[in-house]
Amino acid sequence: MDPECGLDFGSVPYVVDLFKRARRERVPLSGTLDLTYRCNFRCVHCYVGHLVQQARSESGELDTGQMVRVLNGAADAGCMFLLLSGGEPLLREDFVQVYTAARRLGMLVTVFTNASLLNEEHLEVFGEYPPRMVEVTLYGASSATYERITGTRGSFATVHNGIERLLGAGLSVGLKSMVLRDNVHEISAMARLAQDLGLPYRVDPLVTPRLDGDCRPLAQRVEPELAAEVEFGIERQASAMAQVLELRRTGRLEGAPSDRLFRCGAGQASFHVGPAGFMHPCLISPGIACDTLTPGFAEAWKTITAAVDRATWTDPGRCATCHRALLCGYCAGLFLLEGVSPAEPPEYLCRLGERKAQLIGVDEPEVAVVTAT
Amino acid sequence: MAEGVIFRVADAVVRRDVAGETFLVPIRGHVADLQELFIVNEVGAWLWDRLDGRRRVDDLVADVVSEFEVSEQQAKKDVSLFLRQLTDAGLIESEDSGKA
Repeated sequence: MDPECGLDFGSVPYVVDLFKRARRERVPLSGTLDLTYRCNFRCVHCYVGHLVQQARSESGELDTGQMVRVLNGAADAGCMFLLLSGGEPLLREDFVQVYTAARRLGMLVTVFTNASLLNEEHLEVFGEYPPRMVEVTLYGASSATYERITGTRGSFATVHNGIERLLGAGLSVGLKSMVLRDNVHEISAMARLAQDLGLPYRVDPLVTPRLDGDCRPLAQRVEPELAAEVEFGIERQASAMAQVLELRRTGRLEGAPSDRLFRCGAGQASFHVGPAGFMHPCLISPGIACDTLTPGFAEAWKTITAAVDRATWTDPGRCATCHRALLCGYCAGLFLLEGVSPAEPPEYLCRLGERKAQLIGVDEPEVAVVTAT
Repeated sequence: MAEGVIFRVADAVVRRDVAGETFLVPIRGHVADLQELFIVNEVGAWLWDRLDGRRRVDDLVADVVSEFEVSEQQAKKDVSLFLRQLTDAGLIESEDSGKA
């Protein structure tokens, strides 16, 4: 008899253990709900660019009641961590209703937004039902760069005003940037800006093709060695990776090479649902899909997990003997999108992993190698 | 802790049972100083279900003694500590039954 109210949630080892259990039991502990693919920006690198054009209206999006049905199903299935994203989620007239429904179900909600469309109602509801974090993407440290990337005049000033308003409301705010050919020269300035505001900042070095396979956004990729240097130039990201590698070394974190195509938890402990209600293992695996409205969230989750479990590969190849899946960003969704396989992964990822291993001064621990059958 | 005090779960807290854990999630800004969630163990979850706004502290202690093999003195100590933790976190509210 020893009732306890633990207050230590948030430690990395605890979260790792929780996700490990969720993966084993196929509990969708975390998920993303893209509320819309509409956006008021026209970013050069956007992976949903083609869908923005298709979805100029709200047609093709679930209505409020349907969105809430998805949320109810997700909560019943065990979703604790929910990301509301888009497109630009604040474009939806019913954002507040959907957001509030998620919080009332006891989910911890993060919102990705470009912060240009915040209004008083958003701030009021965020104040009453605080999000875990509002994460704002920065595209540059100057007006010229911002507008070149977003294709939207005045976006720099509007976004900065939005960030100030979020901070003024006392909310948890984070900043992030994609590392792009057009803004890589301003990453340091953006990191300083975040530091001056006292906000966490991270970068994502990996531009992906559009979800329809259009590879034009890849023109914005910088050389992988530079991308690695920029990423690990952010102290927080380098130390987080060191911590993850240590968890792998001690066996607390799984993820060794195997014949499974998906190794990251997508379709095992996490899901993605698009604006029309279709579930996928993750955002960039649109080829695996199941409707959440019929037959319902739980059945859709079963279908997705079964599809992910079936997704294996047997060709011997580079990923079979490589132990840098954490460093390179090994990504089954990216492979499917680019039409490649772990037997012959994109050279970009290999070079990214190699440079990161050099920079961090350690490699991933050696693990058992898969033998193709 | 006075035996006649009655506790009830705060309106803005949601219990979630996920992946073998019981989470208490404050959903409104004024509770728990924005601590995003709490975890209770099996015994804590069992007690949480009994914070129904009707049972007094001495009822809870009696329930614990009958459910678990524990002395009344130990049960009083453990229940008081747990209720104090939950109160400090803003997860429960108390009212005096007037019969303490």
